[in-house]
Amino acid sequence: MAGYTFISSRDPVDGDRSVHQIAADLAGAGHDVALFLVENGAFLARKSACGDLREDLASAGVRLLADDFSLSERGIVEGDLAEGVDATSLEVLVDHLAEGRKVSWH
Amino acid sequence: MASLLCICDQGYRASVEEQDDTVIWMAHMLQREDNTTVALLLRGSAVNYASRAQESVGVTFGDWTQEHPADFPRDLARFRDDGGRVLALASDLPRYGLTDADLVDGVTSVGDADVVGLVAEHDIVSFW
Amino acid sequence: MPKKTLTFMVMDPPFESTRSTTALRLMQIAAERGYDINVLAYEGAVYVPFGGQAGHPNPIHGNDVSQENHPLPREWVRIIGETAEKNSGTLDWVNCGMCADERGANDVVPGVRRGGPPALAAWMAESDNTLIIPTRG
Repeated sequence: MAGYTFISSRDPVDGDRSVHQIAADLAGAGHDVALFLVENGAFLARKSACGDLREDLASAGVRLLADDFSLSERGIVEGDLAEGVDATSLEVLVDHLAEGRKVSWH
Repeated sequence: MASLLCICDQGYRASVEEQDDTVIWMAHMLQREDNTTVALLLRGSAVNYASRAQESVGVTFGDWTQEHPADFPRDLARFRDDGGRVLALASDLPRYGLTDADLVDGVTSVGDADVVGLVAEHDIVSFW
Repeated sequence: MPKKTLTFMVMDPPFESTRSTTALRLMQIAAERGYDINVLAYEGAVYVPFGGQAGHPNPIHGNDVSQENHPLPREWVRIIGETAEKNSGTLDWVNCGMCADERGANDVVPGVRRGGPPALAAWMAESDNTLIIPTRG
């Protein structure tokens, strides 16, 4: 199995965190899991927000990736980016699709 | 052959104008294809689609009356008749004031811990 | 780079949500790689390639029509198709016929065809991967 990638597009601050839980549970069970933050899902990448959620994901072993376009739109750049979040591009998401990872949009 | 898990958490979105739920409809259309199997997991407000107490109500505008309003228990039963699986997230039932006894026949309650297994066992997972 | 076949299902109309834009951005990347791209446009997404889209001025921005240069997603669909072809890939964009009929959205850019769930089912079985991008109410 090539791994799981969950595309998190919804606001994690006051929104539905169910996909974050699924990602953490799968990673905790030993699977390779990435959470790719796009659109308002990118707020999870701001270091001054959602620290508890990021901690839970990190301790479960979920890799956090974020769309640089979504980050720039929201001013989450350089010193504002949480540690452990990789700012990257949608090219990586297309890589994940091409590699046969199980990719789901939330 | 592809197996699809449709996790539906939005209930009653556009269902008056469409006369059905477009996610249940798509799930059923795909289930009818020889090369696809579909499981529908209802959560959030969509868990109410499994409630037997729903009424099939239509709108009226002046002299115009809706003849075929959505009927979710009927649609779920037809989906199951064609081999589709209907699941409901057990932890959302009480949140929406429901118990297993309130559900139409053929709906299986699953626990939060079961969701991960469902995600793992299906080829394609979609959140609607 | 090995050729891949990717299938997308989209539901959002243009101008209502960022999802429609992100979906097209992903398709453009796939097109630049010369992938074969299948798209089932369901519900309001049948308006993404709608031929009747037109720009407009913007009094708040102080722009006339040409200055505003308003994005028209139908142009992006055309560009994605051209990009794919230039890179030896393909774009097969299918508008759900029933969704197009109920919305009166049958004026579409060249290359878009009508179809429905059987196309998606076939693609799901045959593609290297499928991404369903749902809408939110």
